[in-house]
Amino acid sequence: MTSEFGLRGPKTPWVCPSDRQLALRAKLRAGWSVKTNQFNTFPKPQPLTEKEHQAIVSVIQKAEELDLNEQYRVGKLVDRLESLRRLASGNGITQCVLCGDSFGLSVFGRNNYRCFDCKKAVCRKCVVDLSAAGPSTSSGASGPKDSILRLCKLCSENREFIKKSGAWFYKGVPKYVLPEKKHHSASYSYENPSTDPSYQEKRFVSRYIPDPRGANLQPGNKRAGWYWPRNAKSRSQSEPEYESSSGEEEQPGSSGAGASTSTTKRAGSIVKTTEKSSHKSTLKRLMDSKSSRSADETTGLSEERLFETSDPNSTPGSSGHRQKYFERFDPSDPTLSFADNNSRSSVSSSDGAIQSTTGTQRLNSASVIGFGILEASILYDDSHQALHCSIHRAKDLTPTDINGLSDPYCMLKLIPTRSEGTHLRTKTVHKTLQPVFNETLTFQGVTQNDLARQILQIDVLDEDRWGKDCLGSVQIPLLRIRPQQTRSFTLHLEKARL
Amino acid sequence: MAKSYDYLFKLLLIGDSGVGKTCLLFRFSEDAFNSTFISTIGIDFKIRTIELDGKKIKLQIWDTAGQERFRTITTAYYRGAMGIMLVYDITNEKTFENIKNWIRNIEEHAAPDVQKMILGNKCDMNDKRVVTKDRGEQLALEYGIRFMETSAKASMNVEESFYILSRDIKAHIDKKMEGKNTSEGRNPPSVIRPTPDGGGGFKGNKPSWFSRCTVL
Repeated sequence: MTSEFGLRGPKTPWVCPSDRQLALRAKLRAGWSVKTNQFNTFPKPQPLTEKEHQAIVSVIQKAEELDLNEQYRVGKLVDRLESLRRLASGNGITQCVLCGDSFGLSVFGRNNYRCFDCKKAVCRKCVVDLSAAGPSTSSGASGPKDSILRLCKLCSENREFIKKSGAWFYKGVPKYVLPEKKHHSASYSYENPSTDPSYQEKRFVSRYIPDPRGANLQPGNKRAGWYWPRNAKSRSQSEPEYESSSGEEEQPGSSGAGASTSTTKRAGSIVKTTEKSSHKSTLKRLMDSKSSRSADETTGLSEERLFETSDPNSTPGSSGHRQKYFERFDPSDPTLSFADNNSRSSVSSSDGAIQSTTGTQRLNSASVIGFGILEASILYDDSHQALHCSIHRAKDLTPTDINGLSDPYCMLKLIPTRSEGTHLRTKTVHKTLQPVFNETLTFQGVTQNDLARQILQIDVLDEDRWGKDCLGSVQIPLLRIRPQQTRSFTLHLEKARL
Repeated sequence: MAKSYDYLFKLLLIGDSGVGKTCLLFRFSEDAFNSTFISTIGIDFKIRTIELDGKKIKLQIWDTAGQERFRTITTAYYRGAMGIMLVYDITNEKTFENIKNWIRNIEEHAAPDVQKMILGNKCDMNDKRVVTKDRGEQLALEYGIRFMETSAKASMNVEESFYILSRDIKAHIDKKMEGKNTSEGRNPPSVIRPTPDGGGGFKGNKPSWFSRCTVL
């Protein structure tokens, strides 16, 4: 035994110790395992040589380049989906979820369909038929009804997105980089490094959504750029996606579907400066009201946070009973207007930065009772024939919901309208009377002549399950808009013209 | 961002050293052949864009080193692969027998919905053949995977195999998305039960990987 497996054996990794050794070991109380010091007899892989190392690194770099391209591509897809979603204006019950056409009473058969994924009503134009046999996306209704799967365009785009982005494989949207064309987002990443250093990072560093099975889920997240169609195990997004999407996709959301333009350098810089000032004032205001999260303003459109910031906006003393008044709102109530003015003047005083650049439409804030005010700026880019309308925020809106708040969004249109369907909308900011939109919407193909005779109408609407209530509307003549000059407006909303 | 494409598929070639993975890829991506043996260092990849059903599909094909010493690097790429080609050399018995080890490796490291395919390479060298085509087919059947004999040198079935694998992946996506249409998960595809002939030295009652595949 010992001769074969003895300690002297130079190549044997595992040996049976002699009795004497065992006895000694027992005294040591060190256990019975015996390991020799000959670990190197195990086949150890040869370490990589310098050259091999370099070769591998270069391949990895090449792959990273490709990955980046892919991220841009996915970013474009995300962006496209987002803007499509933004354009969806109907409520999906009495109106088409996408184009907002109301169905009315149709005697001659159906003119609306129900989307399989989102279960909302879609009109004939916006429906996509997926035959049950194969996923060919042919529009136009034909064939027997039950063998046909109907989706609204949005859901079918969403499905396409899952396929094309590889989300089907990764169980989540892979890393992506949003297209850089939107000056809005650019301005934010430039001006903010001091206040929110993580922001810039967040922008470029990707957002890989881990397998939703592992992450905790956020049900019913409408805001995320995509979703799994129903019956997917994970209907909702995981946390990281939620945060990042609320942080970013809000801001760059400017142009309509596919209507993304690259602005000239000059235009971009102008927008940047105005954005900066308005942003600063927002910050300042938030600081004033001792909001602890003020630095997070950029990521701020998540509902909860807005709630937090909107509350201190109203003057501290009146905020309590303002709420009460709102509950039984009456526009002619003098007490209300008093409270309104109170808060407004306190806000506008800290708003010097933006008001000083404001044009002729600036009104005396103390003199108006009514529907609240809206801050916007307009930039006309003549080289691209694009009219960039930045909607910054609105204040002191009329409450419409039972909780004394509203879910406002802005609908922009140029009147007289050039053609049907040229209205743009911002995102909805939920449960607030002081919404911060910070969005730039772009009308394409606007000529100088158009400017002279058109009026920009901005309706502030309340998103509601049962349609929309108008919170106020405002009209801006574009006559005096000069190319490449940003004009800022602080406007008082008037009664709706709906 | 040279060319636009609709899909990006990541494929992976694995198999023992010297079976011709790099040559297959070289044939597919550049339509050329080089008979000198240069061992792949760690990993490499090539790109080719193909068109399927009117969709442009960019294939990023990862070529891995068969050598054991690069194993840690190569296995890192399993998870990102949507399709995997298992390659063996029909003139080398050992490489064929190792296929089952490779499959085990895949099951351990790769994503669950990866599409697989077995390729018996060097089928131009029929005089030196050791592994019959039947045995290859049998093995593939056992695992419920597609099988093809290819030759990078003679440019046989190379193009086809990559197209078939891509088509499989695409079909898989469509099926997966379609699976959401029906309210319940689909039944697993009928299990292919092979008749054991001892060819690959497997037990016939071993369930195919297909039967274990859960539909997501």
